[in-house]
Amino acid sequence: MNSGIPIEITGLSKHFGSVTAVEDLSFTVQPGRVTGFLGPNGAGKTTTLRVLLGLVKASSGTATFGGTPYHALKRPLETVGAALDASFHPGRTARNHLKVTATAAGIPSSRVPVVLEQVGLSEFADRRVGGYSLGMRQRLALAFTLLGDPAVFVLDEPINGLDPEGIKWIRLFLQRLAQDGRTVLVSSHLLSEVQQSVDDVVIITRGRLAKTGTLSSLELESAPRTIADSPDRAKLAVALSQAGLEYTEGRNGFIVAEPDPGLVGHAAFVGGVELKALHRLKSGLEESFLALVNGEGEPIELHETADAAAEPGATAGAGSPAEPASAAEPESSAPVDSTDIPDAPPPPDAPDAPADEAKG
Amino acid sequence: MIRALGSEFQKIFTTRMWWLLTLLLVLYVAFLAGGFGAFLGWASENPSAAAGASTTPLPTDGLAPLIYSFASSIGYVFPVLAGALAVTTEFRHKTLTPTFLAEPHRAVVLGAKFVSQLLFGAALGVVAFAAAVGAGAGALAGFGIDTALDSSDTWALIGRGVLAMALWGTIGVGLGSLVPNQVAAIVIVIAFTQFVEPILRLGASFNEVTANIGQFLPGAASDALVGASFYSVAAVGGAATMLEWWQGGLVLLGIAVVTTLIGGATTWRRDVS
Repeated sequence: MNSGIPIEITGLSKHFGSVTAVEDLSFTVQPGRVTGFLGPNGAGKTTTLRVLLGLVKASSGTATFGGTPYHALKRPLETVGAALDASFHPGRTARNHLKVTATAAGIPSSRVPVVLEQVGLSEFADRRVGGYSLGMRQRLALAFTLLGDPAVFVLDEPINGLDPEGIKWIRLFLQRLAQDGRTVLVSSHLLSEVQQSVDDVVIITRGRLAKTGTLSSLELESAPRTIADSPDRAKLAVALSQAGLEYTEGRNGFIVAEPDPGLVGHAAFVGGVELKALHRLKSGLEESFLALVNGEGEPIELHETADAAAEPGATAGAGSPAEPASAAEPESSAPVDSTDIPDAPPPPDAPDAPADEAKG
Repeated sequence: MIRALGSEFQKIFTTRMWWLLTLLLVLYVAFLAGGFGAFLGWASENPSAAAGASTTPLPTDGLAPLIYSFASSIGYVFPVLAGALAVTTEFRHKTLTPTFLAEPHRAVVLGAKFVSQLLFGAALGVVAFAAAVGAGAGALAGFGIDTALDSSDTWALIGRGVLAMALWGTIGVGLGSLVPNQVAAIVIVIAFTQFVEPILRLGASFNEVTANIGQFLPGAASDALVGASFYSVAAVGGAATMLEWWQGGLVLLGIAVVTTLIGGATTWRRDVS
């Protein structure tokens, strides 16, 4: 593995006829970090990744790996591991898919059982892929990326279709890759799906760059707020106004533009209003994301619901059996052998559970 | 190129399609060669019953090569299908993505398909002639007709037949790259080989001018290459002129190369999404 290769996108545009998929997009993905490539469906993420991998021709601009376009890489699979749409010939086994690829790329076939073991598919390696669940195909796609032990990983929606166990596993998998000094670019249309794994974010919308920076910089973009609710909302509204606090009304109470719940509580106390809820709106990530993606603030109802839904749930990634996972799909077959899947440590920077369902 | 070729062979032999095609080819050719051999054998022994009023006995010379050539004159549809499927499957199952990720130089991949299908077509040819000779010679020998297996001409015919099957495999690759839609490609193969070309050949044989054009039809060129065919006997009035065997081979090769080059410059270069 030759580490330290950045992904460099410069002035990239792609038009399909009169439709503009990507417009003048520029960003850099650094090695040693996990970068989330985010945007709503149809924002141009997949097109960008396919241009980067030489599958789609750019209308203008460049997309390179440390200055070298994909087709000019001497040993592409040993430089870049890419998982795109997890499509395979249904009549071929997982092992044979990997063998076919290894042969084409000049990778010793002894790598095949190794990567199958790494993604926990050894047991099903000789089954035809046609019988695989989406989650198993995603694992096979990851095995494909690992074949050449590359320095760069480009993964398009890798979490889609994974069960909770798989989601937990891939989070750790991504973090390990970055710890090794590799470059990891992961696309998703759900920030919450990757926010526990990524260090940096690149957000695009309608083919244009909306934001690039660290995950925490995204959090800072939206000022922290407080949620307060009372059995008597009218009275609370008066109290908040008298205290000079700005607020909007949401389903679960007022969202007050004030980071310190203490001050909001004080305002209620001064106004003599009974409170039934008072807490800080913990994460501004999702609303910042939505604001960026939509070009302006999303109706307040949205992020508030997201926050409320996150309250009672266990933190995702802690692996509680009741953990909700929007992408979970019932696996028809036996659960994947978990012996090589290390226990996920509780993510240190994950105070907020993602609430995928809440965003619709 | 060696890697890409190895990968293409692995692709052929890691799904069930190859043995399905081989099995059908063997059954089809063996049935027709054996059946036709048996019928001719019976007819030569009972000329009056077979030909009604005519009492001229059927000539039994040259019968054996005609029956053996069923392997290619009837069986050539199988290598075409194999070649077309090798290309269209990649489009249909979207496996072009992993294929082009492993080998970003698309021309290399298409070249590897061309060569691998040439060799696979040859292998199908060997199998087909084994079936035709096995069933046909068995049937002829049963009626005491010369099987011509001691003649070097027969073996030369079989060799040319294997070459024809190999070239048909590459024509399949060319067709598949021109028509990446798998269903459309299969329909075209079946319709052209089973209906369109036989009718054109028969029609062309009625007239000197059209016969000269008709000899360049791929099936006619293939029969010219092999040197014996059911169609050349069946052609009305014997007006069907034939190319030299090497000319027939060049016509087939030309069709394969031109279609593959056009496909390679068009559909094969498109965006993969």
